[in-house]
Amino acid sequence: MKHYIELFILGLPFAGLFALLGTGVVMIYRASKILTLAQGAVAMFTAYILYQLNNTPNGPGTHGFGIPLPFALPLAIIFAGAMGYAIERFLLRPLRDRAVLVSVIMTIGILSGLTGLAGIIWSYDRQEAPNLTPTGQIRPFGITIGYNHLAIMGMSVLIMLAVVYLFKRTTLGIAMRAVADDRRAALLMGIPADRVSSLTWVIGTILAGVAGILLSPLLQLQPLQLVLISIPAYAAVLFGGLTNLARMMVGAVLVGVLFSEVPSLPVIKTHSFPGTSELAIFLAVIVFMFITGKSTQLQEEEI
Amino acid sequence: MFRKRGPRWALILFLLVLPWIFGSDWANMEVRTSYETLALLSIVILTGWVGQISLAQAALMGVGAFTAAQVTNHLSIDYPIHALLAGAAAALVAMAIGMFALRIRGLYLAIATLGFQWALEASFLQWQPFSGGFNGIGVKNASHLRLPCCDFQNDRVFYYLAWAAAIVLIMMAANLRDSKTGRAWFAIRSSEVAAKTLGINVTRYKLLAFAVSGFIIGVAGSIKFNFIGQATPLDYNFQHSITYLAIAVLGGIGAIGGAIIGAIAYVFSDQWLFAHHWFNDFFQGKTDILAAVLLVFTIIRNPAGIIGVREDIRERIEKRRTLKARRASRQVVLPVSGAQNVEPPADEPAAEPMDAGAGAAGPLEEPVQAETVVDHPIVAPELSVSERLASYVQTRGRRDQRSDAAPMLEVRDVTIRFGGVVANDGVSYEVRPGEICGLIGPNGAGKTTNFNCVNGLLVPNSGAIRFNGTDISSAPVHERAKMGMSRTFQLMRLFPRLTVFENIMVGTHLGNESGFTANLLMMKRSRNEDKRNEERVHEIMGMLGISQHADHKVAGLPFGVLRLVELARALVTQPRMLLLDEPASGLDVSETDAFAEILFKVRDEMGHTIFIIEHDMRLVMTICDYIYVLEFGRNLAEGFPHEIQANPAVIAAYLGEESVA
Repeated sequence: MKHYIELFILGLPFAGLFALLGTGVVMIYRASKILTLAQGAVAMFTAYILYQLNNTPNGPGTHGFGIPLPFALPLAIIFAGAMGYAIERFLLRPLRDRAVLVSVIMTIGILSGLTGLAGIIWSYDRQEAPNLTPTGQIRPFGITIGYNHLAIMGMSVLIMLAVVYLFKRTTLGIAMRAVADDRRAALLMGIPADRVSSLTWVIGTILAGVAGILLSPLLQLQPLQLVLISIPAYAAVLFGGLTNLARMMVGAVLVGVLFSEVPSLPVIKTHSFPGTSELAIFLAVIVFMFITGKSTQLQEEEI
Repeated sequence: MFRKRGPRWALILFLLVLPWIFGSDWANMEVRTSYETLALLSIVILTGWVGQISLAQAALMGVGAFTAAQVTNHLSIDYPIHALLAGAAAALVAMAIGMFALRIRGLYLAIATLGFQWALEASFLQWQPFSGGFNGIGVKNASHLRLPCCDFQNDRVFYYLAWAAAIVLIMMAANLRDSKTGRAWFAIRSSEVAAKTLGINVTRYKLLAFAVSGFIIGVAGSIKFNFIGQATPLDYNFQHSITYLAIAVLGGIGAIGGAIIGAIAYVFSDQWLFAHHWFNDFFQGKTDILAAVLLVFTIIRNPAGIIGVREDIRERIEKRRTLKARRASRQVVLPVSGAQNVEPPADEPAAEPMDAGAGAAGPLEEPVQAETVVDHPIVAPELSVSERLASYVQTRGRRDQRSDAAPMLEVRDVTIRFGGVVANDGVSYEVRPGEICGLIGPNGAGKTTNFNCVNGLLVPNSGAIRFNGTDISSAPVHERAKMGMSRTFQLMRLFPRLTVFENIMVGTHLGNESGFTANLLMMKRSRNEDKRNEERVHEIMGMLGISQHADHKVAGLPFGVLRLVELARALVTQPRMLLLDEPASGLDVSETDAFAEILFKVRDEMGHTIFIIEHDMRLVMTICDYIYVLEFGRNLAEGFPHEIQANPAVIAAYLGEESVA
């Protein structure tokens, strides 16, 4: 039992990171009706940028400017935001009047491009990512919890609260929701819709960047791996039906826990079947979607 | 979709001589292009034709490859038989994805298939007994590489075997595209609702598309396995799914040629460019990034891909031509009835009940002529449409009796609730055969909701709907279409990327008896059915006067023409009953009159019963034999037009209480 509790707690930082990534996806979807599949790639790339800035040139790996973390971190985050701005402004805005799937395919292209670029710049070998969180652990009730896990959980929760506050309480948040609901009406109300969607993208990619920076020390830096690890975040997004932040967060916790618990269930351990957590998450999402799937009779908005 | 067959014989000839043109250095690329073409073709079919995005294609290819490997190593079944098994296995898995696609659509499907790829890649594709784990499966004994006739080790032989499979599949795909199946797919891509109303079983055709696409990429996997002599999970990962999609878009996702060009570009850049040139140092052999950059440009600059450039040029020329033509004569073509046509056909009792005056052909004395170009009615040499219509209505006289035939459509106490809103509250009415029956009511009265219910797009919370005596309350939309119910939509649901002719051709789905196999092999039966249906489409286009637009894409045609196209598409399904949802909205007075005349023709000559929702009171009162009025989801009144016009409750509903008082 103790083992499972530990695993549960081990799953929570992942849940938090999935929620961060998912929040970005949901925000961007709500403000611009674009589903970005590039969120994991943005996270990965930002983590690499921090690595590049922070790593000492003579240290492990061959790259690095050796900028100390307190300076490197804001720079990396600014970079993530700039990436979001550029993606929205130059790649997705021209597609505004095209079919929805076109912009999805565009984000797939971005994903592929960023992954390839990271591979070219930093190679596909694993690198040690700079660690922001304290090391060491506490042992309440005999359960081992790492400080880094606590720190990640805490930061995720704080960032989440900030985002919810932004969305629900500030003028900007209301403007974002207005643009999402009806772009033209928002424009008529004098909301600079373009600026609002740019800003949403900037915030969304910053969230992804933060998630990537926090996630990379838990694993190692490797272009594909960081992209793949972000896929469960999309499962969480599906739990939220692309738009609902609260349900998405609950989904993120579920996915995070499945992620860490399933492989060590006794049944699975004995049969040594690979990828059970992935399968479990996938099946959970599919079953959920089948049960809650909106009425399929009238799927096209108006008849 | 009905465009002329591509240069297929040229392609085959080229492929036959190809290995003799280039040396053996190129053999590798030549073979590889065959299975990459198939992989891209599977995406062209699924995403380009049916509009279902799948990010799990690489996993499916992996299923094919590992199945081929297992079958070869354990059962000693060799190529090409094991290619069929590999295709079948991948088709089954693809149909599982298709099952989600029935419930999960569009963006959700993109994520769900991404998840499928991710889960499959982590589990089954890493599972030792199936895939041999991380290192994959090699060929256990080389003996399987030899067929009695030839030695597989020989690149040239393998080249022919691989391309033979590819060509067969490509041709079959082309056959499907040009047949009933392909039309159903194109319809689903644009609008599932419209597809259903035309009698297309969306579930069946979607699953079929997934199966076909899965089969093709499974075969591609088996060829790849045979060619490389090994299958490793890394070759079928997430990145490959994405790269395939990117390259399919790059080549042109709507066309088979796009798959071929995409594959050539992919293989060429991957193997030749990177092996021989300076930028290999920069790109480190990664085609992905080049593909990604090109993809981004393609999407923004030229969404139809490389192959689309050809189409683009053609379209531009055509647009210029139509513009010129339109400037030359700003004329609307309106059909004119031949005098003898007004009489109901003797063998068509369905048209009988309107005996009051249907036989009177008096006012239509112009020469029998298929169609006449009418500019402005005043300028027209013959009687204007409005005058013809008026005299027709006059001679028919006032009706005050309905036929006593059993009702064709019977709606009893239908109630529909959306959450707390009661959209229909115990609505009842019946439509008798041969009638033009109207359903009117102020905005928000629940007319369209009721229509959707009759047609099957909505299921009522309570109440019964009977069509020709059978209870259809729970029959799916396409079944109702099959029983003879066809409809048009207030907001038209045409297929914008198809031409007028093609749009109407989709409507022949129900009247087309050919099955999947006939379509796949383009058997005589399939071709004959198509020929027969094409004639019917031309006939109906002629009758409605839209023949000159046959080859124009629907997008960009004038509204009045589009209304007629949608009507033609509904008519060609040979319905017993036509449901028209505000067909005159957006039409001007003369277009409306022309439309009214057409509706009379549809009823009197073709014998269709018509049930119509309309706001244009002039039209309703002119054409309807009987009218039901709804208000706030309830029956308000019913009666003959003159009764409705005089009904104080109806007047109050339309104009408000005060004006009556």
